Amino acid sequence: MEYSYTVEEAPPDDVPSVKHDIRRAKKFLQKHSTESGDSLYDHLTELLAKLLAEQPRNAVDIFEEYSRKLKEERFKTKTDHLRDLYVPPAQYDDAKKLIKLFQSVRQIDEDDQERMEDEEEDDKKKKYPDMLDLLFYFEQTGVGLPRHEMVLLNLSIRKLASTMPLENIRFWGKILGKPKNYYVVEAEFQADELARRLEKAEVQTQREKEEPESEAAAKFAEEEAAVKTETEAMDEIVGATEIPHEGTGVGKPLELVFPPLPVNLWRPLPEVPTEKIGSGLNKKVYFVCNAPGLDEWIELPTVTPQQIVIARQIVRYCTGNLETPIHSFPPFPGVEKNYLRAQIARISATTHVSPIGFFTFGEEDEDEEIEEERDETIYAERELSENVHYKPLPIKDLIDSTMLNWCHHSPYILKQGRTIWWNPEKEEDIVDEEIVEEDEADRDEVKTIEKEIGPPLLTPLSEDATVDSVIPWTARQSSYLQPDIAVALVRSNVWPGAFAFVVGKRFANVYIGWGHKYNAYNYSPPDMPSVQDQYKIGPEIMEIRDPTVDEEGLYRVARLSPTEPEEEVLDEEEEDDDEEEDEEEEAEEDDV
Amino acid sequence: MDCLKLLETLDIFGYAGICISTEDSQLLQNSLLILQTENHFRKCYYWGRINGLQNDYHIAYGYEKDCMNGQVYYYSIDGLNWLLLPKATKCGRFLSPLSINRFDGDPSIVTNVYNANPPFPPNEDPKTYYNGPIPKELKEEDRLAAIVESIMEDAAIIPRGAWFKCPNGDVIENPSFEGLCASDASHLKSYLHARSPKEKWSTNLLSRPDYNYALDFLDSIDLDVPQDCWDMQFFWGGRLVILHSLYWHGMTFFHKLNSPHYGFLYVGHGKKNLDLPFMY
Repeated sequence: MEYSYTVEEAPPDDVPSVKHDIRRAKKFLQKHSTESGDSLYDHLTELLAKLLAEQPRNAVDIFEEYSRKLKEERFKTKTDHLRDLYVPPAQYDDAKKLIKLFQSVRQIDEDDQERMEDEEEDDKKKKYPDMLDLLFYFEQTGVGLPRHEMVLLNLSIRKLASTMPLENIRFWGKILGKPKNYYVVEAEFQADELARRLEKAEVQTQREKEEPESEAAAKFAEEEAAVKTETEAMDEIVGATEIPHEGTGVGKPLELVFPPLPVNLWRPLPEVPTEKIGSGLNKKVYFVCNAPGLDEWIELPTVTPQQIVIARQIVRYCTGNLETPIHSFPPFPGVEKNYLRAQIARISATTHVSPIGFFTFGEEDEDEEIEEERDETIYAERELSENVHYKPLPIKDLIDSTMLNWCHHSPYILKQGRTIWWNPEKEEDIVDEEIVEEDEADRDEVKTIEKEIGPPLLTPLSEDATVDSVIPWTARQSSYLQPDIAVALVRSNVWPGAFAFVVGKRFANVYIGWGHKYNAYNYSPPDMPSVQDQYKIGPEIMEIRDPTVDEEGLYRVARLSPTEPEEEVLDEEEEDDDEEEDEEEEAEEDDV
Repeated sequence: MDCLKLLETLDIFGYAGICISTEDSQLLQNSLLILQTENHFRKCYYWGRINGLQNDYHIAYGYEKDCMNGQVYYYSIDGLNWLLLPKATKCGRFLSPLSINRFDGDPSIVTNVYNANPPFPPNEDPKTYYNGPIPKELKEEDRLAAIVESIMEDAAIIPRGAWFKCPNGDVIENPSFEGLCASDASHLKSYLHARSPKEKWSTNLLSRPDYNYALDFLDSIDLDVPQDCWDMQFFWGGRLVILHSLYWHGMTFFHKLNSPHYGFLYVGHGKKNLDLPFMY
């Protein structure tokens, strides 16, 4: 018991000893702060306990940080008198929706399998694209979408296919936007749905045609009435101005002759009709959503040639909201969904490429003569079909920089905004058949409007024009180390973000980008149109300088015969009247 | 992007449609580790890729001490052999925005940039725009250097707090950076340009009430002109933020909220999008 001691035995305060010092130091550390109420002793104990428990690296360097955090924590818990409210994790809302998707797809799959057993449809499998397979190849080429989104895309496309009568569903790509992106799926309607839609469209166009006619008639009547009232009003005014003259009884009443009202000579150019659903640019139908799985797929409207033409002249970012109005010059006919649809059509037309030989023209039209006749008019409408005898090209040929082994498989969009040229005269012929005889000569002249012809389908990429020294395509292979398993990639320089890959018999196109065409010299907005003239510039509306006194004198000398100078002097008043016709009225008034 | 994290690119930059294939990421990771050791870099980053017609340029950089001013850039065509990228010259800075053609893929190629796209009307005195005799020809290597520099100037960003200014003036990566929280991350103010500040130090410091001398020494991106030149998107239910630069399409920045992971990657054709003001 040598080392034990009792407090009573401790040496008195005035004698220095280690024990005493320790006790004093401890007392000091245990002093509670007047401001926070904590003591350093407790704090250090806690801090050391925490450090020992967590054992961070380089503890001495982050000691202060630890101390600060500890204090912060203490601060938090102290004020927490409220009952805990459970805050669900941020992804909870998404998770709820996604789980529903999983469940519904499961249901669909079960239904499908039952039907498969019944009908033994083996081409049903082809209906759904396999995004994960696609991703596998694209990832090798440096183009990618997040893996989990691919799964969700797969599921949501399945769901879409089960709710709509679609075929040939394909993932088209993704348009980046600010602040939301669009995922785009391309599909075709099944034949019966297509027929139904066409019928509906026809009914609607008919109704529209009737409406404008009656509307125009009404408008015409209105205008007539307006003109009438105007002329009546004019007459009244004229009458009013005439009265005083009549009252004075000076000669016959003056007739005010008004110039004819200006006639609007401008006639709107005949509107290029939209291509029907199931043909041309509207052959495919597109569905978009902001986030696969979370949003429903929304069908985009059909594209009109006007939208294509204007879309070429403007640059825009998508906003992710389909109803965003587009304020642009020239004004775009439609909202963002129309713009998006137009961009999709333009991108598809330029960047859908396939290795040569992969597609061939359909073999239904064996009849050569008919083929020849139809060839020119509907070259773009000919059906493409997959070539069953396609032999995969070696990768060396596919990444050849001449691009001879790749070809376009979607039709070229003409300047008009259609894939098949529409003749504006033809339409007029029908309308103005009565006037034909009169302006036959004119028509011949007009007919020289050149028919626009795009390059035929399956034209090799080597034929693509190089605009502003932008070489349109670049080819790469995914791996230069293992060329035997490499994937050939083609990327468009005109539409940055458009890619196509091919490996063996597998090929696909995708677009992931801003929907912004590359322009070497950058976009410059079009000039405002020049201010139009209100009237035709002619002598009657031009301001003419008044003659000076000298000029009048000269005029007088020139006009009046020099032989009768005396008469002139005598009949000065008369002469004045004759000469100054302009001032006739004034003179009259003076007389009055 | 940290050269050791290249495999993660698919799930992060996939939102912008870009990724680095598995083979490439392994190749780059290993060759960059060797580059890092040879140069005694503290850290080495894969900067991105500039697409050319014949070849693509891979760009990487590293630093020894100062992560802002001490960056050294390297470029490579095959991802194996890295060459030192020269510093951007005055001539390169002047001519590279004028060049209208794509990068070719051959660093030694010299093109006459000036004649294809004269920068000012012929009746004006060019001396007002460029001091000294006007260069007309540009070597592709110089162009690459100038483009990389201007992309870094305009579009390289870090979350606030990721870089730390030491009392001696060195800028280092903040070891105790814990990531932005959700409320901070939704403001552009919380992202700073990873370049020497152009604003006055006091402006940058006083841009926020809870300022910190060591963190708020860089320009924040909410002052960029025009205001909407950044596109911010949240993914993973709000745990990942992606910022697209609209000036440089292909420049993508990511930050995983509440974690120290952040980075950027550029994959594109190396041309600035000057159409931006017309695109709203």
